[in-house]
Amino acid sequence: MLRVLVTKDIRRWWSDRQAVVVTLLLPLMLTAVLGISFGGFGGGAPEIEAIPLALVGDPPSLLRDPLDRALAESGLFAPVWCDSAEADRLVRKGEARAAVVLPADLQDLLSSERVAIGVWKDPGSVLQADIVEQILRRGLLRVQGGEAVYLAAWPADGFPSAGEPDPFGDLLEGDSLAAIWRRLRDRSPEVAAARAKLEAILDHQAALHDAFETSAVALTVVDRTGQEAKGVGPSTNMFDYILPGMGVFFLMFAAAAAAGDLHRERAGGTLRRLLVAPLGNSDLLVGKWLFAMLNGLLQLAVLFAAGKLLFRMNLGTDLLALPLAAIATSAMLASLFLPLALLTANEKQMGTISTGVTLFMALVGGNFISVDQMPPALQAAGRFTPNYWANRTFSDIVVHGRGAADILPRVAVLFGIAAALLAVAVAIYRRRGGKAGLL
Amino acid sequence: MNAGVIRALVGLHVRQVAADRASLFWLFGMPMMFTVLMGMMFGDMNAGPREAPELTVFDGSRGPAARGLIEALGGHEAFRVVVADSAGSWETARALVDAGSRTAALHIPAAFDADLAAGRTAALSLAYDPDRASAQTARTVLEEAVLRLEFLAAGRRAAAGFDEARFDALWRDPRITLEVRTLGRLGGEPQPSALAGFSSGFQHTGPSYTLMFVLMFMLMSVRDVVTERRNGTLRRLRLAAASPWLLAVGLFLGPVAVGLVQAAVLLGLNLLLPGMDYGDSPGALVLTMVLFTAVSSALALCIATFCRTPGQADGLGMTASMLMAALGGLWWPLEVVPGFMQKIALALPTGQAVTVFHNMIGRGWGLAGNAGHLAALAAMLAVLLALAAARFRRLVD
Repeated sequence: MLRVLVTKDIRRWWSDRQAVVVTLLLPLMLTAVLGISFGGFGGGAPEIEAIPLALVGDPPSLLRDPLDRALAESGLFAPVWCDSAEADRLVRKGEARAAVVLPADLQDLLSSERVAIGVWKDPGSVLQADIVEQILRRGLLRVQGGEAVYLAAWPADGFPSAGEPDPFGDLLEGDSLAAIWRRLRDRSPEVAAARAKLEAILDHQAALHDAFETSAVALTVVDRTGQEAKGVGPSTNMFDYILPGMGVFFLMFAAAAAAGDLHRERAGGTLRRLLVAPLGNSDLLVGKWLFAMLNGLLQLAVLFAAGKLLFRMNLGTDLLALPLAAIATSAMLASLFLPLALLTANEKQMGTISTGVTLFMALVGGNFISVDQMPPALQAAGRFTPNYWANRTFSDIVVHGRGAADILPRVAVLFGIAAALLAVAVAIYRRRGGKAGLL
Repeated sequence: MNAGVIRALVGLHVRQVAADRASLFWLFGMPMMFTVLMGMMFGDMNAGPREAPELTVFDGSRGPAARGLIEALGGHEAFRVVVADSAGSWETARALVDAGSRTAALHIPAAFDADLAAGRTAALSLAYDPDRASAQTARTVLEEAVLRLEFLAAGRRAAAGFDEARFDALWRDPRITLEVRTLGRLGGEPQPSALAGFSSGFQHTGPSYTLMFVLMFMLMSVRDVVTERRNGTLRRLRLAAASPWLLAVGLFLGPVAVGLVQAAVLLGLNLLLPGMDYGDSPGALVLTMVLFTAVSSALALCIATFCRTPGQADGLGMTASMLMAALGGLWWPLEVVPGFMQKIALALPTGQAVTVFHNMIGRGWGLAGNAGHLAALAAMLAVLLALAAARFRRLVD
């Protein structure tokens, strides 16, 4: 009799083909949107557009040209040189994500004066302006460190303060190598002293260069997959992270719709006819549960197959693990909304409450954002949602490559939740008078 | 025009929504829950003191260089440093991060200080979870501390009279510095938010989830129109001297009225959240919400004319609202997605509306600054209304 009930439900579900297609396509479409947004199509590395950057200053072409070339070749920046008023306008309008304001007199960079380099950030930028700041900070740290180590090693080589005589600087003053060379050839005692200082500085630079040849510390950075991290950010296919969460999320909607079928059958009058059939006491309920579970399994199978074909996602190393997790998840979600279907008055009420419950659980249970990234209180709350255990199980298989033996404890939790919720549904059903209570 | 028919249809829709208590939770409770929880996830949001994720250090060396390194890691808000009692092993460190119980774990081998002192390359290992912002910060801070050790070691090797105290002074107080400021109306305010341009993550999630739930409630109500059509209610109304045009206007304005009340309540409640405001232009705020609500209602009516069963209506309504929310930048700021996805977002009402909110809050723009986006919303409204009216007439006539 159960087989007949389930077959009937599958036929009814299949009769509304457009609804079926939407149910199966929606998770795939959303996964594609999320994946393309953060990982590129086909599981490629995340890509960042060249950041429009305003540069304020008037460096000589000797400095400006290679800087322009380096920025353009990095692919990270699309620089434009302008004055400070134009830079302010560009940044405020969001046409440049940030402006870098160089000192008015670039000579200050090679003096004993304190110098500030300005960074103006676009108020509408949440990422790219920060990238500009971070790259500048990292680069500047090396300059600051270089100056600190040099002056701590050879303090006498420091730049003279403003107003102090600077024979060495005077020696190099000029706009052509020929002029500098002619001054260097001068045999006067002042030039000889400046020349000696230049030689000492070059010797020191060479000594420091040699000292940097040997690395003091070899830092190895390893991410959760055990791979050596080359850059900051997730190291595997983004679809591996996104698709299981989306799959479980939409499976919750499908499970709610399957449980809500009780209301549809009642409104359509078919429930009354079913109840006069020779059914066991809880057959109707168990039949709905079996249908919801098979429906969920089909949805997960389509989703993971499409994920493999379209997004090259990883399905794990153990052939048993994914089917086991899918069965446990489908069983759990099939039970999830049965008690609600028995407690609500009609399909609309059921739909409203189940959608609210689904969205809340998806948010807290880690379907939108990994539970690890949430504040501690929410992390703790997430463990009490059934979908959390499903998300974790799929994540273990797909992201961490774990096998069936490793996921058994979580699978047991999922089956435990499924059994408990089904028992609750049966208890409610019997308490409300069994078959008669359904009408 | 028979204004009475329109008034009756609008009144009926408002009464139906108000009578359903679950709908009221869906209208107001659920969006606020999303706003608060997602706002907390986007950064500090003044949610009260909370413990930062742990970076565990297994210090096998226990020498001065290792201690200096650990000291350099301390004092950051993003993570807290805990030095383990035992020296531990690299495998233990990795297992802790792999299990998700630590954001990162640093292993300093026993020979670390001895190697540094002897001028040999000292090994250091960090296991970290790249999905967590705290781990990324920990990695950056560690790399800076390692860079300092590199400079220090190079200085010692290069010059016999290397002055470590002077190096430390210059490292801590460098001559060339970076002065960073954010332009716009929030430029002078502290920014605990993970969203750099905003002073609070709620400034993104508040408007975003208001827009999303206004749209979602309307699209989830599509099934009501489909059910009424299947039950023959619309045909009966048509026979009661209501023209298709009047029926369409009534079915369009009912959800608009509910949507505007929903938006007003949600935007008002959002103001109770820390650091929340909508900029300096009430006119732009009101016009944006009116246009967005109207566009959502017109879209819902359009979808209703394409669905034959309530099941199809649910599926299409959910698909459209989820996709438009995700693509339009309601789930995450548009700047984090590639350029072509940003262009797609601006082809959607969600993308246009949330961009207006960002411009109002971050840049302080009003009606003039947002004129292009508001015009785009108005154009979408005109197209959708025309399509809905044409389809609706064919259905009920």
